[in-house]
Amino acid sequence: MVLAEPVDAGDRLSRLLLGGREKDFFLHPDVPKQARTERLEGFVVKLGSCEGFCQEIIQAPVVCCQEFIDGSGHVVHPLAIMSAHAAGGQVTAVGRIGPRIGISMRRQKLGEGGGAVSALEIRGLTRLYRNGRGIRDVDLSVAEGEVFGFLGPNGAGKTTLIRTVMGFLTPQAGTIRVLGVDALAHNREMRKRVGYLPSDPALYDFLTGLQTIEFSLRVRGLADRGRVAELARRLDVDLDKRLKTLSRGSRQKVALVAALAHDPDLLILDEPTTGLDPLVQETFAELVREERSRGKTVFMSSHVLSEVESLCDRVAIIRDGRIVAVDTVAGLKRRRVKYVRVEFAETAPDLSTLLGIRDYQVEGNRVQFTWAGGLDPLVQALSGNNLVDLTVSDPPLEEVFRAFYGGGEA
Amino acid sequence: MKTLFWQYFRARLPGMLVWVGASVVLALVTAASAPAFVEGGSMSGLMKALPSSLQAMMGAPEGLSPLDGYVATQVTKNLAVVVVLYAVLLSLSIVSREVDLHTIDFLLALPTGRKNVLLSRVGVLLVNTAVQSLAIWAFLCADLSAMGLKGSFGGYGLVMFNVWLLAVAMGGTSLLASMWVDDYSLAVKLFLGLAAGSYVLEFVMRAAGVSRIGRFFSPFSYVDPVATLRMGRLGWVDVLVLVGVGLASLAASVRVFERKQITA
Repeated sequence: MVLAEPVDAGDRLSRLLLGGREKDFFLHPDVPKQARTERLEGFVVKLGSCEGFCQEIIQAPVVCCQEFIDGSGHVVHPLAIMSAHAAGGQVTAVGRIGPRIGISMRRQKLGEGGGAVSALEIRGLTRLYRNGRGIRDVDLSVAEGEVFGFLGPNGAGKTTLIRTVMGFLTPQAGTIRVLGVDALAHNREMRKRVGYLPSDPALYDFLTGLQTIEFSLRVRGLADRGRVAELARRLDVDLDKRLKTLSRGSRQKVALVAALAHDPDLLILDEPTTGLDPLVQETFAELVREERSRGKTVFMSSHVLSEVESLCDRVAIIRDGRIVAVDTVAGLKRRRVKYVRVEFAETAPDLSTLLGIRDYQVEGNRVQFTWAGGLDPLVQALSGNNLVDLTVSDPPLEEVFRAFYGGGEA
Repeated sequence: MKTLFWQYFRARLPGMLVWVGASVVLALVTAASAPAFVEGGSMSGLMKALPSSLQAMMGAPEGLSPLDGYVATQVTKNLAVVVVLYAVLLSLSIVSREVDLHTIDFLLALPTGRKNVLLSRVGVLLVNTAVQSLAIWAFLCADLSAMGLKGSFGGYGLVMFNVWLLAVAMGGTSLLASMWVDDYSLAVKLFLGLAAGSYVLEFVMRAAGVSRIGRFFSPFSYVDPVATLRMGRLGWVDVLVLVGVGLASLAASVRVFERKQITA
């Protein structure tokens, strides 16, 4: 997000942030004149149009404070935002706005000292197997209302982390807080508010889908199954059939309905779209977006980059059991690598020896390559070579991911 | 816990019906063969002619009526082992099977303690094996009675209660041991093999004339129908040992299960 015009604090906004219950607030653009950075921590922010009050031009929320502050840590004045559009849940373009653009904020629970409560807070988590694999010293923080992607290839430690959070595995070190609850000490309490979908979920074959879900709800002490029919309809799954007669994809859908049926505050999904056909994957994406718009938090592991790119507000990349990057998708793209195309008036000079260049290709007087790091050294190297054209673009997430796994530190 | 119990009871119901059905057939066959062994029957003389070691192995009892002696023999030989094998199989399905099939993930993601999960399933083990033992006793007595044979039917009930205690104790120890075996098919082979082995061992030791004290490590030695029928009550030592082993293994199982690492 491009940021501008730091402002100072304002009483109205402070009252809204500290006062009411969890709900959407709509602020006229001339109201939130001031706000302290720390007061915004953890809030879900939406851009909206004043015309028609809450008729939002951006449905997807901006998730974190850092999306809303500039490089020096100051809060950006909403009036500085002129045009914006949601792309995969991220605000990607901003500028100066007119009087018709406003902003709404969803207040989130505040912890001790007024800071926002994270939906998932992991500190120094280590869980190693006898073969030395597992997760090491993992730190993660997922804000409430955020869709958080957890990326990594098979064996990187995604499932180990999720199973440790769920209490299936005991960590050798570290702490886990889920929705403000110490998940290690009060795991049962935590599970009341969590919906979990394992990778390749196994359910009881002798039960029907509906019986499975009713069993889950009864154990939770819930009688209301109002969401179940609606979820089943949207996912197009017959809950009256015995699970042993269903395909793998249909079982996955039943497991997804079971994970959502009790309206959890935090959804933990381990590779949720495995086995789902593309149409259902789209429905799944809609469900996730809806959960987010209702203020729910989603933590999902995946190795499907396009899925993460389109759904997640932020992403963590895990490599050999260690978190190597946590950022927005856009942030990851920005900070890691760029695609560069250069055209020279004459024969292209040899740039392949520059530190930071990869995938170097030359076609006559045109050169293209992937560049890692800041652009200053590149611009300096290019200057004085009769440059005709220079294009620098963000790579797809696949390339970012490959960069993290291709070698070197993040 | 009630929900967990009924869910698991329902899961194991078809299996229970099969086992109870097979056990009832065995009980009826046992009863149908009784006339040949009682006084004056064709097998009675043959039994008496056997060497004492074989008589001991077969359980040829002294001081009991021929029918009680026959039933005591058959309980040791056939009926007890069926209940024990079922209990062992059930105990393996409590954790080992769920871990192997990964259904444990669904279960443990629910807001209920591992202890509740385990105890509800052990409850099903207790109920199902009790139903099996009760069915064996009821059909055995009913069939004998229908043939006009009169035995210590109340005593047979005590013997089957003793068998049930043995099944629970062996089920409990299998449950505890299965906490370290996540491969269900391997667990079945291993623990059914051990149960069958201990059954054979008991007969071998009896044939060899090993004393009761010498057979203290043999689980099947804690079911002594002859003594029960002779005294008209269960042996307190047998009951204490079986209940003690059952409770200790259950307590240990809960402790181990609560710390068990459920890997993917």
